[in-house]
Amino acid sequence: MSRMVIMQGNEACALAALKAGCRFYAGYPITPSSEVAETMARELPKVGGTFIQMEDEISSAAAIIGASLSGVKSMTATSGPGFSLMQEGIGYGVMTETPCVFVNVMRGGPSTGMPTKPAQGDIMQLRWGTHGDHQIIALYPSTVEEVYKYTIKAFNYAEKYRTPVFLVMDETLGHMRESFFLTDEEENPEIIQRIKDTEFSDDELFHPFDLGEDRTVAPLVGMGKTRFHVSGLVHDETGFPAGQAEVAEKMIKHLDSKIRMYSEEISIYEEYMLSDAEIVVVAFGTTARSALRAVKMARSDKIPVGLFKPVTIWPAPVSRIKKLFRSANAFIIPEMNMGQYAQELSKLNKTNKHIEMLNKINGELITPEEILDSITKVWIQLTEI
Amino acid sequence: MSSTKYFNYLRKNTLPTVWCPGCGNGIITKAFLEAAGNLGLDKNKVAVVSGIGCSSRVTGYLDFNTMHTLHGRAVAFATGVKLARPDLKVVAMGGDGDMLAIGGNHFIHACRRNMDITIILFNNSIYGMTGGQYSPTTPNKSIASTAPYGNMEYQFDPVQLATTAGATYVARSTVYHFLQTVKYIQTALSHKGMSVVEIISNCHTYFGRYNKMSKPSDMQEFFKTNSVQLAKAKEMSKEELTGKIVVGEFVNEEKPGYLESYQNLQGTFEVDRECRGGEQ
Amino acid sequence: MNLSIPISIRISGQGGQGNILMGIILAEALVKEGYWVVQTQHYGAQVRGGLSFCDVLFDKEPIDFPVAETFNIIYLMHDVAASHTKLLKNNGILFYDSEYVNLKKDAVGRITKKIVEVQATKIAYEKINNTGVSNMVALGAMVKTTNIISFETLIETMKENVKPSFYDLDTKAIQLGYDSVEKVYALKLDDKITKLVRGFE
Repeated sequence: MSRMVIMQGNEACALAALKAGCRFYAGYPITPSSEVAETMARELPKVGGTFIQMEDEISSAAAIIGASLSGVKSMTATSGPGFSLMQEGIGYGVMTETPCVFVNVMRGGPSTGMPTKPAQGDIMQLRWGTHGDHQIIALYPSTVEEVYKYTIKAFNYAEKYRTPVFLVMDETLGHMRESFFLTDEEENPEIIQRIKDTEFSDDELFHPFDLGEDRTVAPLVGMGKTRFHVSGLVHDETGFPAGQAEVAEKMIKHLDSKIRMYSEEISIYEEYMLSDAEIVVVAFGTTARSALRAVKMARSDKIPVGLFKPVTIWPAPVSRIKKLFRSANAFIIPEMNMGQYAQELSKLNKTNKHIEMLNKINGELITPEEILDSITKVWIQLTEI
Repeated sequence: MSSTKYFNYLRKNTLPTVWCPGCGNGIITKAFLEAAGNLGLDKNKVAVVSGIGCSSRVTGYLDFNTMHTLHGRAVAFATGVKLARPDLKVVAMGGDGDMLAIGGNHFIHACRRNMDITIILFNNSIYGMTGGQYSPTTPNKSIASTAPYGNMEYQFDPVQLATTAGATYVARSTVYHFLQTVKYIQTALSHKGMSVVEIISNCHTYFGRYNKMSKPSDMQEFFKTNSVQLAKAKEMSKEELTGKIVVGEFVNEEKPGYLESYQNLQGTFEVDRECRGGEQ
Repeated sequence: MNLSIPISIRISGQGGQGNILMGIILAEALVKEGYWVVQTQHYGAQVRGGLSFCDVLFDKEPIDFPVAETFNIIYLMHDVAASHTKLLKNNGILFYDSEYVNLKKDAVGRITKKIVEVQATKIAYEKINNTGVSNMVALGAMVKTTNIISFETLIETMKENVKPSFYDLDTKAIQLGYDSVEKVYALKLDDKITKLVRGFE
């Protein structure tokens, strides 16, 4: 029976994590994500989970990876400065193919920036923050209901693709309280679990990276039923370091292909009135809400504009965007940063369509009126003979 | 000490502070200013470095060379300033979460090196600015926003930590013991080698409210009742000392630090005046 | 396309006056009464002092943009937020706490005639000897005047947001606030929820 609830963005993230089976949280206080830690501190003991506040973000990243490798779903939450500290740990999570969820509630940057103001300045860092070649999955909801839904999705993706997954928010979304209908599906979501039932022989070590004949992702088993070795060094399927060229090639390409080959399946996006749109607004997070409103206002003025909202900002929904670049005539990309996503998307613009950037980095949300102004301006340019 | 003397060291146009009314950080700041005034410090020759947190906002209000740096890293930044410019007096200020949690590593290494800086530790046993989470000096069983059922961890004793790590002047005071605080800061600023002054402060807004001491006067009363001077504490048993705050100067010795050794090394070379960087 | 504009409330004052708690209680109560609700807040580094405000938006449809530029109802708790008076919509309702706000009635009078003086701090101090609950007195006054939620829902929601040891104190404060204002400027509120899902294909 679905019911109307009201939750804070950060709170919804924590509660959804618990729903998805998260039973370990290690974190460090940082505005604007501290409420995630506080909710977890209150709720985890009630479900038999464990909470700890670590001494810094570096150790928080390490602790959740340790917990996950041992067999327990885990999560941490932070913001810009803390996210920068976690990069080495994230790289280790990528290399050891550890499923875990990192929440980044973006705030004004760079450096200490504006702790209580929203921004979208970490878009490229989410993709390339840690060193070396890697693929990553990052989900960025735009309403509190989506925070709930997509946190559960983040955990499922982490398990399915054996990778760290980022659940991204901005300060406005993290701190606002919003009502939504909690549907039956959201109350009883599908959860992907790890293998539990296989029996293992005592003589052999488990190979945590064994793809077998036909698997894309090696199954992971918790410690206890058997035992295994992992390392951040380049390794083969046994988990032990092996630096030969063929091993390195195989392993690093595997890390890349296990997500790249499935990017269609992984990417999630929403569309509004795109079927006859000549102008496409591409927006994500809280900006997508302003964009939705702006598109509705523009449509009342009969401007053929639509909204494309990537939920998985990484991997970007490349093939859908390429199709849009062919069908539409102009793009407007509002972002609370200096054009990070626009720069990436423009690489897909093979037919030289007009891209209008709308950048705001003063700690305030982009308003529907600002986007509407852009839409109107672009429409006038398009319809000039 | 007349108030005009220490007003000279305040950036008056940055006041009022962001601190809550009744916050102990103001008392510590004033003690620092009095100590600076008593020593007649030259404003341009002092560098004060802080991290992130309520206490670390102090650098905005002090009229010296001030750096408001990253969370936990004040001591690391300060080390760089001191080694590059040994002629400056360098002070690192920060709170218990900043200095001892994320900054713990830098804290112990600076002490180990007997680095010629002064650390002023504003210890209010909580993370104030981010909303009342527990810190490495929050007592066991206290309530905090991330310890809603009581803190399961135990506290650091910053004095013991600094001493074992190798600091050569270590003292503790509280915001209730104002004159002692001034004296210790003054001694620390004149000390050669690593000096650490821990000052117990009150965050009545978070720690106090969570632990039934919601008024500043409640917490000051607590400090007054539960403090013991070091000389007396030496004669007390371990049981008698549980829950007590021991105030005094714990370590005060002479030992060459990194800077002195390094300067001796530099002295052994014939340095060509032109290629020595950095102007004195 | 008929675009619904949510009703917007802003409660602004100094950090420590409890405006965010007021907003949370109002937001939760409005959800119970059957609206779509969004509540946002703003504060700086200061926990005590400095500007702090809370916005509550409610509508019968899901709300797209969670922030409003102008407001139907504004409650001013302190002069630090005095500039917010210019954000009031024409004929909106302006509440102010006379203890801390020096209202320039002529200037505001050009935007609206619905100006309500609430002596929240004075009542809290004189009748309950506790200025900490002046935000509850304020809530009572706001709800009486605007009639956006029922008194019962307000009390019930308050109890879900404060510790049991505060129930009696806060109920008394809300009642005092409720009784302290006479005039009712009930908002014209249409039927409750008409749209169940957001407008995406």
